[in-house]
Amino acid sequence: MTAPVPRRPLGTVLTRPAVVLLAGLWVAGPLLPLAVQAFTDQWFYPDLLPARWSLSGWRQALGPQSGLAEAVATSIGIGVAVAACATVLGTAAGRALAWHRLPGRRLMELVLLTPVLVPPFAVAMGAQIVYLRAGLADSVTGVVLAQLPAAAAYTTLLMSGVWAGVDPALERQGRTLGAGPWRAFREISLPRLHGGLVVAAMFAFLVSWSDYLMTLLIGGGVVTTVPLLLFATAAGSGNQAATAAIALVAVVPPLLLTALAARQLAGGDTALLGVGR
Amino acid sequence: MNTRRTGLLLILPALAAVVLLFGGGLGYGLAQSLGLAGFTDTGPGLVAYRRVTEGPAFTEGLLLSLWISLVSTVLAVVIGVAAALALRRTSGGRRTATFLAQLGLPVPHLIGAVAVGLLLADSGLLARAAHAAGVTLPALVADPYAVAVIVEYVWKEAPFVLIVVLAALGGPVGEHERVAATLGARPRQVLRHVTLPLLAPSILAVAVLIFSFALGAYEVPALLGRAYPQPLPVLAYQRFTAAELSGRAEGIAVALLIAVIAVGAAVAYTWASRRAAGRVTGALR
Repeated sequence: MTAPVPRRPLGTVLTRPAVVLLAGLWVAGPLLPLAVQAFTDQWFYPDLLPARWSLSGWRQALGPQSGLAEAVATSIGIGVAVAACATVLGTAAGRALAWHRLPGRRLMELVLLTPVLVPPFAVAMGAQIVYLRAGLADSVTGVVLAQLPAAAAYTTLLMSGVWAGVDPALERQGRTLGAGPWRAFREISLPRLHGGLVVAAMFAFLVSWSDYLMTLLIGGGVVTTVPLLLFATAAGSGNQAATAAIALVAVVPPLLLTALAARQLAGGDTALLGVGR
Repeated sequence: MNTRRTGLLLILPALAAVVLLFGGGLGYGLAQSLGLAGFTDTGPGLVAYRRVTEGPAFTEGLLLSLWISLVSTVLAVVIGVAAALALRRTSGGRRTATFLAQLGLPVPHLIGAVAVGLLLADSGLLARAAHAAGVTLPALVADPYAVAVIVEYVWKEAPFVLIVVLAALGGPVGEHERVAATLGARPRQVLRHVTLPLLAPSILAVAVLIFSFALGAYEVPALLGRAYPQPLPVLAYQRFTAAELSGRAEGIAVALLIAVIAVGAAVAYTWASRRAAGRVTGALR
């Protein structure tokens, strides 16, 4: 028996439009109904189509009473702060992991990974009293600090991979030519890290953007981010149009950031996006 | 330049952030659950653990949690791996499909839960479509089998598996497959004896990540699950925020038990991945 050549028979199982359609249906399947629901009013069961289309859901979601604008501002503020801190921490730690010989490296890696493995609310519950006593509970600063470890774990993981792709010899040459360590980093390595830094900051922002329970426990319901508002509206209001409208607002930054960063994203890196939300 | 000291200086801030902010909370939580710190009404000991684990709420919650995590993990892995293998055999569209899968990854689970809720609820889109077709569906949201919760996890995590597996397939897997095919292995034999064993480490790794995530996630079952029995994260939160003082310690106790199971799964994974790696290299030698 002759061996089948894998290429030909493998090439014809699904056609291009079918593949794209299937993938699109899977991803958009649950999200598209959101887009419909947000523009409905009086959509009684079992009507297939709403009796009336309206913007009332949007009016409520964006109105002064809902607090969505403030929640978006709070979420962006916290996300940017978390992203900035986590990217700096991750860049430094990633360089150490990729370039330096470290005593107890395995233990360090394990410690840095714990926020990915241990459900964060196990920590938030324990930490709540500490934050209370330190006067950080119910404050934006407290929420940023609470979200930071998980975000830093992701940026470290990502940046150690990025640093591994930069040749340490280049900085050494710069140093030989008289540049200080800071200048050698800034002018030689930093431009090479650019793509990785963008992705790391984006991940950290998204970790913060989707966090619900940490924010609820440490922020005490005083710090209202978009997920908190969404959960409260979904669980408590019964207003499906407004819920859908808020969900649509909340889904824009993740989709937009990923689409914009798509060129920077290598396959393995994006996988990280799937964890921990 | 002392490279070791520089390295330590560089890694210290990230380590400190994790150890202080994360480890500190964990340790202090442990102390509270053991009645050693915080607001308690009992002496030191395992009182909180005993109180919260006795009775059916914990046992049924644990079983429900394990059911949700296991079924979600298995379904997400099977669908993701199958999709990745199928995507490799398509004539085109792989890049677009991968892009679409990537696009879904950063969507927060909470939004996924809201969307799945609107889709599967008793008056949701699916029920309307079924009614139009003359079919009556069983309850899918807040049902005994946590269907909506599982659907949300699988919807979110299958693309994650797909992308990890596609990345793993980019390695030397193709070469080994071609060698096996040249040596006369049928496609099915190639899949069973070459492709899947080579993918095993990546598949196991994502499986563990999905399992521990689903085990510890709160929003999705809180929104789509039943009032009783509650999966452990919901039970933990509900105890933690209960009116009575002892509830706090009990909530933390449940949260820590979840953490133990999650870390246990990770340890089992490390062990299994070493064995799997040994088997693959052994088979290829």
